[in-house]
Amino acid sequence: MSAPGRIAALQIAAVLCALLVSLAVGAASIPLDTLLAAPFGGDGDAWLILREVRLPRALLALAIGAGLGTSGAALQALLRNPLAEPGVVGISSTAALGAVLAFYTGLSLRLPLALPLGGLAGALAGTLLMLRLTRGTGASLALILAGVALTTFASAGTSLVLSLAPNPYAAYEIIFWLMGSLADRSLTHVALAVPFILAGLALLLHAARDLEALALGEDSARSLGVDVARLRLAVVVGTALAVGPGVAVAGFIGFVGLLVPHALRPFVGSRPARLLPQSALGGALATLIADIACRLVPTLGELKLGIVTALLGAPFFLWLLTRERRLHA
Amino acid sequence: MRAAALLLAFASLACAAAPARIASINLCTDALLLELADPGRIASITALSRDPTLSVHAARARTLPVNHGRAEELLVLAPDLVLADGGSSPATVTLLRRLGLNVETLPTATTLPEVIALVHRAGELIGAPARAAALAERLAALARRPAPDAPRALIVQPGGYVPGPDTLGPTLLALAGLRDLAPSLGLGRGGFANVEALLLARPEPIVRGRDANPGRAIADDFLSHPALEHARRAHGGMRAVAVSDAAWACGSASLIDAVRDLRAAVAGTP
Repeated sequence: MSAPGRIAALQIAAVLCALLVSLAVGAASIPLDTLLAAPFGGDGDAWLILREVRLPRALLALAIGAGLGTSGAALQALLRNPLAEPGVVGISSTAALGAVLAFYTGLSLRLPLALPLGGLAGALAGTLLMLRLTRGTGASLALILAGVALTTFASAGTSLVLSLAPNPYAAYEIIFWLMGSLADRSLTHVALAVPFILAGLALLLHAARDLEALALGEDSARSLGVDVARLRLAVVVGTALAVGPGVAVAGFIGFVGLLVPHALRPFVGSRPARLLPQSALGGALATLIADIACRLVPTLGELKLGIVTALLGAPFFLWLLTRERRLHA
Repeated sequence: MRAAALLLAFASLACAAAPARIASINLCTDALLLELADPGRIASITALSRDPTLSVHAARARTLPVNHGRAEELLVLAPDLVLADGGSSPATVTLLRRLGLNVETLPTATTLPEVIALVHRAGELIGAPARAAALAERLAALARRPAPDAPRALIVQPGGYVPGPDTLGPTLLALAGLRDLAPSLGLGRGGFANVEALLLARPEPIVRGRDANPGRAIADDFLSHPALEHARRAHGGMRAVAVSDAAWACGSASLIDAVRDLRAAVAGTP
């Protein structure tokens, strides 16, 4: 088996293990044998908890993580910048703003699809703005500045909408949107978000081969018959689909899209055709593990998922920045 | 002008007569004031009392002057008595006293005997002891101890919050003849329940607020989790009964309504 093949097999095995752990761990401590017997006509409550509480959050963690990992790798390839990632460049924040507008105005109460569509619209707007602000070049400075501006603006907008919302609980939910959580999400949320994310993943993975040609530069890519404008559009729409609806049901989950492709590059190389599918697996794995950690750390309520991913991701990001500087010094 | 008003306040104190103009700077002292004093003697209550999700007296509160618990507002009013409670800002209370206002701090009541004592004390201060005694008698008639095999209920507020013994929540359940499930969920001191714990503990009934909050929040969706609906269909039970949160937020007359409503809801649908 080739090295990337071995890594993929390893990742799939790890995802399956993490999936089992994720189903076994929760707020209610249920003995393992009860859980194992539950799907086969065993304890009804245990089966209900597995199916309606733990399975949805595991599925959401897998899908959202895969979306973040893949879109991170795709953005890095498109902009030829290792710092590109939905959270850093502001796309997750604008997605949260879009979802918050759809939710707190009561729109999603009348039309449930408005929630993921709001996230999608926000993500799409954020991606287009980001490309415009960086003029598609992906130069580090322009990208980071655009990301800071977008994130700051969208987070402030989210906080403002929640502060102005008539519901007294809305203000407390700022932390959900800025920090993300999968606590008590249901199969309804899976149905709302996962189809969009899968469509985004398909679009991004399909674009991987063209992204590979882009690594040689836009002119070379064109000479190889790649329609660069169409490729850019595919990555924009794919990223918005893979990120926006996920943010709409789970809030902002940062750093997965940054961490995962970088952690995988030393093992599978930088070629998008290999890195993108591996990043999908890696993102799913990282998010699922982070979500398990949320349930294990004893806090009032539950630790927010974005706190765990940020705690792990931020130091990595800093290390990456210093290494960048050394390389370009 | 202000000095004259203050002088008047001191004078009325010295006479130890019933205070003529009374202000309240807390939601719960608002309720006692509204229930025990004639409207003509109410100088001001808090703006919170005009919110129907917080106060059962919202309609009456709209006809009375309101304050926001700030020292300046009260100084201008110069009432003979300012009622505060344990939840009032100590800084405001200290400041008001330094400015020469007569501030009385009432305790926060979380049990029936405490509520009864509170009503008597408020009656003394307001100068309506007979009304207070009548209300205390009606409150005393609520006393009930849940049977050892009584249903195990849980109060669940938006976001899954279960109120603890620093509120009247546990008292409300006991007076309605229900056992409180919160301590066995590790929520004896209040805290957030989660869907998994509810599914296993199966509270019967789940006591929720009656008045929907305006607008929308994720917290309001807590009890709509599909798993709870599935469990209801599978086992029956876990029925949600609605009691106005505002009715049992404070130790006052509305507690009687809250207990009556909850008893009726529990007895009503099997």
